[in-house]
Formats: sequence, C-alpha cells, structure tokens
Amino acid sequence: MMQNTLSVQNLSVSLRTDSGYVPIVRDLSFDVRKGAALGIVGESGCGKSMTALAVMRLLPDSAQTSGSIMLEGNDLLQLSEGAMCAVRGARIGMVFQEPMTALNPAHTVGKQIAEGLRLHKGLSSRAAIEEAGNLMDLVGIPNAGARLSDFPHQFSGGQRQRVVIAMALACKPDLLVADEPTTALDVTVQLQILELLEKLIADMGMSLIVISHDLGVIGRLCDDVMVMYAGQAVEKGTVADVFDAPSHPYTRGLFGALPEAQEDIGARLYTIPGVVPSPFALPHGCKFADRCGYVVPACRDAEPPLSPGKLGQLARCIKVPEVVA
Amino acid sequence: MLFIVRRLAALIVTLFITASVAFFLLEVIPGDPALDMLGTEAREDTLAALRTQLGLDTPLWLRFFHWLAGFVTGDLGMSFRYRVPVTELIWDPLFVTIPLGLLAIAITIVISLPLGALAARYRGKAPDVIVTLLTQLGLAIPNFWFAVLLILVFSIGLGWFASGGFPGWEAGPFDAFKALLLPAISLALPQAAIIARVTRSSVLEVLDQDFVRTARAKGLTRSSTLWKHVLRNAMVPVVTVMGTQFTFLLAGSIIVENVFYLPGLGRLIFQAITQRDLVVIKNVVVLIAALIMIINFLVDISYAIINPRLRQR
Repeated sequence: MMQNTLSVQNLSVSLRTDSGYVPIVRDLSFDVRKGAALGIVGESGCGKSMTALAVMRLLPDSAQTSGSIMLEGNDLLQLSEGAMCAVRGARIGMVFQEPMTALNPAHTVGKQIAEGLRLHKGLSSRAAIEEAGNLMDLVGIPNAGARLSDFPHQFSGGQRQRVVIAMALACKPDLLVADEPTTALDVTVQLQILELLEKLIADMGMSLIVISHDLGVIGRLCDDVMVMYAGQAVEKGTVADVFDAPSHPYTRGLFGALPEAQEDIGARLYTIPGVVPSPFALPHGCKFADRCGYVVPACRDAEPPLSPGKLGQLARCIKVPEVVA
Repeated sequence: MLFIVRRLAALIVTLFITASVAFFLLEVIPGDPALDMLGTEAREDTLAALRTQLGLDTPLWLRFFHWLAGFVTGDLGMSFRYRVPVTELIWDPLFVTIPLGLLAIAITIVISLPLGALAARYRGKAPDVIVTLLTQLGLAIPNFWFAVLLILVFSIGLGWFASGGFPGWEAGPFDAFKALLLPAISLALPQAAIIARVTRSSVLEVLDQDFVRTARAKGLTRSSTLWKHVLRNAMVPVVTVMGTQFTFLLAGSIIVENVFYLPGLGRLIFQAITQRDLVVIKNVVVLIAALIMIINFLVDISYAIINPRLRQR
C-alpha cells in the first residue's frame, strides 16, 4: 500500500453566521499520496479554498471544523495552536492566489523569505538571508542576490508569485498547498509558473494539493483529482481516469464548459444550466439534481454515496451507467 | 534623500508664509503699541520718540524683512510690555513647553498603541469593550477638567505631586519631570483616546489583508504576526492622525499650563495676548507654527520609514 502524506477523513467545516451555522464543507475525505499531486477542482464557492484553509488550520474564527486531517499520522485538528504553528511553513507550505497582496509591502522580500527559515530552522538572520537568496535563484528570479533587499512593489506579478513559492518552499515542507496559484496571472506568466511548480515538485519530491477551477492546470500538474460540488466530493480518482471518462454529470459539465481552442469562434460556450445551490438552503438528496440532465425522482430521495465510476474513480451518482454510456 | 530635501524645502516655504501672515495680520490690528505702553496721557513728541525707538516709523515691508532677519538670527526684538528682549522672555518657557509636549507625546504613544492593538486583536471580546469604553471616556472628558481631577486626587488627596508650578531645571531633572507629569497626562488623555481608536480600526483593517494570512501560513503565531507584520502597516494612518493631533498639544498646553501654573509658552502667549504685547505674540505664534511644522516634517519622514513605496516619490 502506498503511503499517504495527508489523509483527510470526514472533514466538515461550518461557518457561524447571523442565521446559524452554514455548512461549507461536508463530510469530505481524500488522500494525498506521497510525492503525488492532488487537484481539487470546482466552481467558486464549492468549498475548495475552505478545504485548503482547514488543512492549514487558518479558517476564520467563526468556523467550526470536525473530522480528522492526518499529516504523516498526526491529526492536525487535535494539535494545540502552538504545535500547529510549528507545522505551518515547516511541514506544510502554502501558495496563495493573489501574489499582489500576499506579500507584506513594508518588508523586503529577502526578509520575508528568510522569516520562516529563522523561525523553523533556527538559522541566524545572515544564514537565513543567504538561503533566501538561493531560494529566489531556485524559483527563477534573475539576479536573486541583488534583489533580496527589494520590496514587493518592485516586482512584477509573476515574480511575486515566484517569491511566494520560494517562501512556501523555504523549509522544504512535506506538502505544498497551492490555492489557485496561477489564476491572478497573465496567461503567458501562468505557463511559466506551472512549469516552475512542475519542476520543483519533481525535484523536491514533495506532495502537492493544487486548488483550481482550471482543468488545464489540474491536468498538467496532478496525478489525482477530486471534483467538489456544494462542499462535497462528487468525483475522485486519478487524473487519467477522471479526464478520460468523467462519471459524474457535474464533471462532464465541467469538461463541456471548458473552452476548446479548436472550437469555432463565435460558437456558444457550453455552461452548466442553473446555479450552485446556496449553502443556506441545500436541497434534499443529490445536491446537483436541479441542474442535472440525468435526474430521476430517486435522486432527490437520499444523498447518493460515492460509487464506482467507469474506470477506477468514484462518483457520487446513482446513474453512473447512463452518464458514462 | 531627495524625499527629505523636498520636504525640507516645503517646510521652509510654509514657515515663510506663516511668518508673513502672522506679521501682517498683527500689523492691521488697530492699536498703537507706543500709545499702549505710555498711556493715553502721553505727550505726542514722547510717543513719536518711542515709535522711532521701536522702529514703528519705518515702512511696513522694511520692518517685515528686518523682523524676519532678526528671527533667523535669533534677535526677536524687545517686548513692548516687559522691555526685555523677546528671546530672553521665551527662552525659559521653551524649556517647559517642549519637554511637556514631548512627555505628552511619549505618554500618548505608550498608552494608545498597545491599547488599540489589544482591542483589535480581541475584537468584540472583553479587552475590546474595555478599551472602547476607556477611549469614549477619554474623548468625553475635557482636559482642563481632567487636569483639575488629577490635582484633586494626586496632589491634594495623595500628596504625591505638587498641585502646580515648576521648580525649574536647576532643581534637578527628577523634580522638573515630576512637575510636568500630571500636566502631560492631562494633555495626553484625549490624544491617547483618539489614537487608540485609530490604531484599533487600522489594525483591524490590516488584519484582513492577505499578507497576514501569508505570515500565519509561514508558521508565525498570532502575536508575532501582529507585532512583526500588522502593526507597521497599520501605522500609516495612525501617524497621519498623530501628526495633526500633536499640533493640538501646543494649543492644549495653553489651557493646561494655566491650570498647573506652568511658566511655559502657552502661559506666555496667553499673557501676551491679554497685555497686547504684539512683538511677543507674533514671535511666539511663528515659533509655535515652526514647532508644529517640525512635527509634521518628522511625520513625513516616518512615513518613508514605515512605507518603502513612499521613498521613491
């Protein structure tokens, strides 16, 4: 059996609002295999970013979490805040969506990269800055040594994302969580960042969670994929299986909604009809039923369990044979 | 560096404008200083002689530049009232008011920044509620009343401090400091209340920013994130408010120096106004304006320290 770096079991997250607790992530289980990359894909609001923040235990104070998040056999949800601080940055690194705002404008980038090294590795400020220079070099910032004392506003968006990646990698974590790492970047820069991430995970052998709404990103970087809808996994499996034979109507919809370069210009972009149900009023039974073309009355009776899809994947649908036919 | 030179140039220009306004405004006020000094019974030739002696018979613009030159070289002319050089008259008060102001600034900062940060850190919880209540009180209480209250409690009640007066720096720095402490506290109170509030809201705003989450993702605790990443960024609006608020310290010192009977600039200008001592008024006004501008200059410099983006402008 292959070892897992991260194993999440029955994770639920609710947020306290004026009208009570609202479920954002519901009964979510997934594994990140050692040295492998898991992609989490879904529309905005499906709970994928909340899942990432739950793994980091950086959810807002109003959030309530249950289940277990095992990192190399230790349940992160059981750790004290102090022990969790020793995990963040050291064993799990995180890359954020917005490189323009993810860096502190008042500190030099060198200092910001060095900060984690000083904290977790106990390096002197001099050694940490030197290592920060190496890291900036590693993530492909030209003339890295001279740029250590520059401030974030002196870098372009793509370079800032490289800096953020350098920060996340500084302590050589077991797991890197990248939340929409390329979404805020120009298309050409997106590709460079993807290539960088690809190279780094191959070189450093760490595990990766990539959160994206972009199937292209997931297909390129990941081994496994989990499709989320309304706070739940609706399909999960290897990228090969899920991309070859999407077995949940929602996944099929996502692929249908993916713009293809060879499509006729002017042809209507396929979109999934309807809207994501509000977490305040989730329908009974299958949460996708209202938007689904395969819906039968039985779909609304009970939430479907994850069942085998066409290839090796699991899909939360009772009509898999019809869907994949 | 260019930044500092530019600000310095702006400082000098502003100072010149202030000096002109102070000078010409007091010139157009009706009233004859010579007549004022000698009384209405004085003979016309005596008055004329005094006007000549005071330089009041020379053209306006000549007097302006004469005074300006004097101001720059430290010759501020003679007080109409006391017949002593103004320089002499303001020298000792300067060493009461400036230390008083600095002490009040120090007290303000020491009280308000931690309180504001604490309130933001524990938003909506007990510390926040207490700080909000305290700042509400601080804003509502007029500082002359608070000054009287301090005298009642600490001077008359507990006997820890003198109820007023200033022993002079000759009496030793400790005694002088002691005499300035209560006045400085009453001056600092409303300032600290305002700045604590600004700090609270500014820290709350910064806490919401993405880089705070980045810092936490690096493994920093909440407290070290607050001290290392949040406070410095939260300081920009706080320093702005400090700049404007600290100028009120000098205005506030007029009242507080009178309550505590401190021989400072505030009392001097108060007396000069009641006695129509125009030479003293205009010099002290320009001096206070200069002090305010120096504070603002320091505020501008501190912006550049806090926010590296401003250094290039």
